Amino acid sequence: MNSVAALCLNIPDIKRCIQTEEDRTVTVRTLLLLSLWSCRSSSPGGAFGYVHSAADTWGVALAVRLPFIRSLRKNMAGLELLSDQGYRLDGRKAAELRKVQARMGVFAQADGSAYLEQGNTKALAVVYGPHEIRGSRSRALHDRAVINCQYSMATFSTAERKRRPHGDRKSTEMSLHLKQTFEAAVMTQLYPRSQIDIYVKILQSDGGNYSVCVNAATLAVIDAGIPMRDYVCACTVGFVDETPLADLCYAEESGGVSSLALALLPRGGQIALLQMDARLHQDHLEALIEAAMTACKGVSKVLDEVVRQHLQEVSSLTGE
Amino acid sequence: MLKSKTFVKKTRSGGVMKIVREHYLRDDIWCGSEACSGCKQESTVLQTDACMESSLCSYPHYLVPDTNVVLHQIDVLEDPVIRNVIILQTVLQEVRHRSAPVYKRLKDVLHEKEKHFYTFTNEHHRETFIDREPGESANDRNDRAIRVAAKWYSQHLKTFECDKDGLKVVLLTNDQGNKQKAEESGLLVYKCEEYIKSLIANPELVDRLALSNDDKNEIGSSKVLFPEHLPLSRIQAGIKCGSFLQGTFRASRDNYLEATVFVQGEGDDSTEVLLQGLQNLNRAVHQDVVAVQLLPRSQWVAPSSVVLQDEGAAKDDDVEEEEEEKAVSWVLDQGETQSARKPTGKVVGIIKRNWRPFCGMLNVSQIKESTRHLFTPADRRVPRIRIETRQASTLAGHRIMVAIDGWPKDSRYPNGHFVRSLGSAGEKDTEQEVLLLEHDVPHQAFSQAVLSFLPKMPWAITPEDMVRREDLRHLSVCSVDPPGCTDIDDALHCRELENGNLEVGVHIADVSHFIRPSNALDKEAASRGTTVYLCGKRIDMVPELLSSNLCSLRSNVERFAFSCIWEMNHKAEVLKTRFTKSAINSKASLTYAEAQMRIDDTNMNDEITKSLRGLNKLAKTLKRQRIDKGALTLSSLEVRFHMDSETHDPIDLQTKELMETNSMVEEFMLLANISVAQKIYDEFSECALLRKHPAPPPSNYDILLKAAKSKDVEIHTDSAKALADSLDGAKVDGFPYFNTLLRILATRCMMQAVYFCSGMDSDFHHYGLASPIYTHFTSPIRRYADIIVHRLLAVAIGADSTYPDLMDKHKQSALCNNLNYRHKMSQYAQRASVAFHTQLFFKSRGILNEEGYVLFVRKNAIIVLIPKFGLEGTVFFDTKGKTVPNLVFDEEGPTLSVEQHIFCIFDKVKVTITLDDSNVQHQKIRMSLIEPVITGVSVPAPDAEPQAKKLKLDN
Repeated sequence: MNSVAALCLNIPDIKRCIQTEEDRTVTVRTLLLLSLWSCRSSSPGGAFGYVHSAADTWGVALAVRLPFIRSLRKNMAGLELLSDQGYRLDGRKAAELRKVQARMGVFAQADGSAYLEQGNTKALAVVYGPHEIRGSRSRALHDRAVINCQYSMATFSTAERKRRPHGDRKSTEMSLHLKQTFEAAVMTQLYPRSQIDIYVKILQSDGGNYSVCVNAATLAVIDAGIPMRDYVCACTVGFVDETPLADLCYAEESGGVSSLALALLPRGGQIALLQMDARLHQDHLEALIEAAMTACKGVSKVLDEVVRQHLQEVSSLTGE
Repeated sequence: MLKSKTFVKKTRSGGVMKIVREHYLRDDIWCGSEACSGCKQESTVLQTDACMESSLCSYPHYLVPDTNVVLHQIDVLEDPVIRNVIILQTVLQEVRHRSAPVYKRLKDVLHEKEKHFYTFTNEHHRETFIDREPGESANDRNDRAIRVAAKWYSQHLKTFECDKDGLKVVLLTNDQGNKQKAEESGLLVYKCEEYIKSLIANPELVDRLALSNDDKNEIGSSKVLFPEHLPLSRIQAGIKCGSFLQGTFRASRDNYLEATVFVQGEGDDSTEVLLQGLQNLNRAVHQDVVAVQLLPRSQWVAPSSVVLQDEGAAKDDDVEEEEEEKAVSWVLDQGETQSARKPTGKVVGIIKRNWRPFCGMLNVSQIKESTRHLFTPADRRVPRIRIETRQASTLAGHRIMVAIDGWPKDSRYPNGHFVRSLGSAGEKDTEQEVLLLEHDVPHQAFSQAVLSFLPKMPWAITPEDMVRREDLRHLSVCSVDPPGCTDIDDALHCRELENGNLEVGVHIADVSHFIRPSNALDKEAASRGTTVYLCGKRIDMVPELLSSNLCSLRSNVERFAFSCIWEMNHKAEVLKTRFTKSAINSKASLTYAEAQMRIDDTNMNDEITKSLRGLNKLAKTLKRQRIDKGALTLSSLEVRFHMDSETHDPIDLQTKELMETNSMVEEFMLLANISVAQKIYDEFSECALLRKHPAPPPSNYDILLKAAKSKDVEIHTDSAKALADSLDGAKVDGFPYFNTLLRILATRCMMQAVYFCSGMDSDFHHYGLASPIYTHFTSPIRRYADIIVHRLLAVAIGADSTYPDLMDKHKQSALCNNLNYRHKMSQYAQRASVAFHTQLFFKSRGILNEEGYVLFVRKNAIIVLIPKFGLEGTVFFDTKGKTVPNLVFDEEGPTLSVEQHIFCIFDKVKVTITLDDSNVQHQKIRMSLIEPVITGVSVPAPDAEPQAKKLKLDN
């Protein structure tokens, strides 16, 4: 399928579409890949069909201004994120992930559901669909399904209890990123004129919210039996002392690290989403993406095991 | 790999927040011992035959120090004798929390391969991690963690040791309770003192031991001498409500019973609080940050003008105290009589100690067998320190370094310990060492790691090198430098183009080609910041191979350069500017005098001479243009020593002479710097490294205006231009030296020029050069700032690529701070070196009579400048043991009338110069007045003949 070929973005391709500033530092705001549709209709733009789809999200992420990042950097100057012996704050080595635990099919009423823990970050994902379009019919697409994502955080998810109104900018942005990630992974063309809803809630937050959501949602989508090209696995990577750190926890994220989030379709090595809000020197980008991809592949192994285990349980229950 | 989880809950002050963090425990953390067969480690740190010969431990052993031992005895741990030490992560973290300097030193030790120090990450090891028990304090928990880890080590080594030679682990702690508990659990445990004293081969290590708390109690009498310091919490509360003030403690140079605390207020509003008497000084040491409480207004006093030095030998504390009380009351009496009282206060607490190792000399105790001695620091503002040493007899007469350990409230002096000896006092090498240490100039030999980044010799230019370089080897380039210069970093050329314009090139050594970013060589250079030139010695910023050979643009060898090439017309207007990396072959390296001779000699017409003449002509035009714009020409006297070639003693002293060629080179360097500054700022508006010179505040000029007024000369200081013009116009008939003196005074009014990062500042102006933008580009061999500028420029012209730190303005800014600091300290060190050599010079010359000018007038003295030597000295009128003449000081003039004679600024006087070496620690030049003759004040002119004789003898 030519669409899959178009999805195969390798690192040089990414570099070409990243805005490089004169001083050779880069800020990858959000770079995403294209849903199937934009790939297929890529005839005029060729392999660069994604450029326009990326363009509209530049605007969103541009709102995250640099001073904000700088203030973070000052905040937590006191922590030594990577010791000379190569151990991080919580005792992991640079490339090690947090402990990932997951369960599928946690709710009966939804079509698919999953609960996933990545260290202390815990998320619940629920999938409804595919079903016919709810609300205005005009949103329906004649050749593929619409994916509707909603991201939210529980009031009790952080150290300070806080009411989180619906539709604030952060969660809107996150919802958008999730939507675009899953448009690239779910085979939406199989369900024209229909809709798939993905709801994700963060129950406890300790860094890497986006990646945990993606991983949980993947399991939920699989649980719902919706065909996907591959697992979508996501992971954040930070850059400290010339070393990429995989799967950042909150203390590390807020310690002034330039972090990058990456969602990967591991088998083909295709990148579904790449996001970075900090400035980074171009020379380091490749190493960082490499590390993120390795980490994502690690996550995918765990998810694969969870799915297989779940299948075994289900099949033994049904007596097969 | 097993990962298990525990939750560590932490609360933070200020809004209690529960923080949950994961804590992974691992079983792949190895013990780091060579002898271990159980761990799958790749490299080991700790040796099998860990032999430190000790009478307590006759078997091979590893040391495990606890936090307090590391914090207090880092001097001992740094000694090369101490090897095979296990630093636990718990200890490392606690040290990091409690003392940044010790942490830094500990890290340096850990990185040293020969020391065999190993960091064991016990907090993440499955078997050594412990949870805090209910009711247990954090400190107790850490102590227990250390014991558990030590226990684990001893069992681990017993189980897995391959050749069973009884390797053991020894815990070092000074805490009685901890020691007891450790013994109960069957550990080998010693007090640090016990252990160090038991080391057979190295008895001198004992001197380096810092005194611990129990020892201090033994030394001081039980009598409390000082009021207790308040705890930090009460100090903070006091500062908040305004009853205490926070400031930097500055001890007085002249009176050990007096000090001021400089309190930084909001904006420019800062005050000084006066402190008098030992009780009120309350154990603060120069540069400490302290909290002071103001005394009621009725107890305010005026600063005393008395010179008091703490000179008593180590007598009994009681006796001394009585004497002091007398002295204090005398000081206070003096204060009462004067009306100028100042806010006076007392120290209630210390916020931050700023102790460093001090250089100085030992006052050997009169009791022969005594091991306690007093140490007198070279810096008079630092109190004397009591140290314990058995080597007093060898250390007497030596310059030594001593660190302060503490100052208990029942001790007259702070307690300290001996760090190292620098050599015998008065010797040139020792004095130089002292000077470098006191000015914090890094001067160790370059390490192997640094040297490994040097290019391999023999070195030659390869064709690959030339791909990105312009070949300028055919040009007749030459360099002009002071005589004896081996680090030549600039060369020039000038030639006529076909269109009648002139092409002028400034070629700067391409140091950034050899020093690549972020390697050890680069880091070392960045930390040194600048080359320091002392009399007869140069402390290089980069290793000699680069500074005097590969980078130095010597004549008739091919060298890499970074060239700045202008096309100019004959009016010295720049038409085109071009920067390029190049290769050049200098045709001649000349001194200023040689270059001047070539220009003046009409018979010489070779290419180099023609090029020099062209340059000289353009330089004059450039200089005029610059001065028209308002650049200042200031003046300060610099002296050169003629050194004896064998003994390196100064033979003659001469003020530096300025020639046309000096200013010729200077002009083109300025032009290059300005061109480059503009270029890098255009290219990198956020992270260009620039240099600025702020305009001085108007009050700085007061002394200059007053001095000029006394000779009826008007000076305008509204702008740099006005100042330059009025300085040019300032002339007094029959006093040709007046203008120079005035310029010397003007120089003293100026601010310090500084490096800064363009993204962090908005004011770029360079006041002295009257240039809107300026940087340093032309001396990369001796200044690190220039290397950064080279790298920026190389990126700007596409000759090189950036690296992350170059683009980070915060890192740049931190670098600038270091460079400014190093630059300032190197200047101080230079001055101190000149002063020391001046002393040596006068020591060899005996008594001299010279003419000089009054530069400043003070209440009880005049400061005299002797142009012949560029030497400044003070003539006191109230010397000890003489009747004080009738002195009247007039602030307005300022003038000082002594008996009938009135001294004004710029008066011509005649003085005799002698060296006062009554105090070995502080030798100084003494001047006394010969002319005008004032009875009872001036001295008769000593016979000049003995001096002539002495000279003959010397020759």
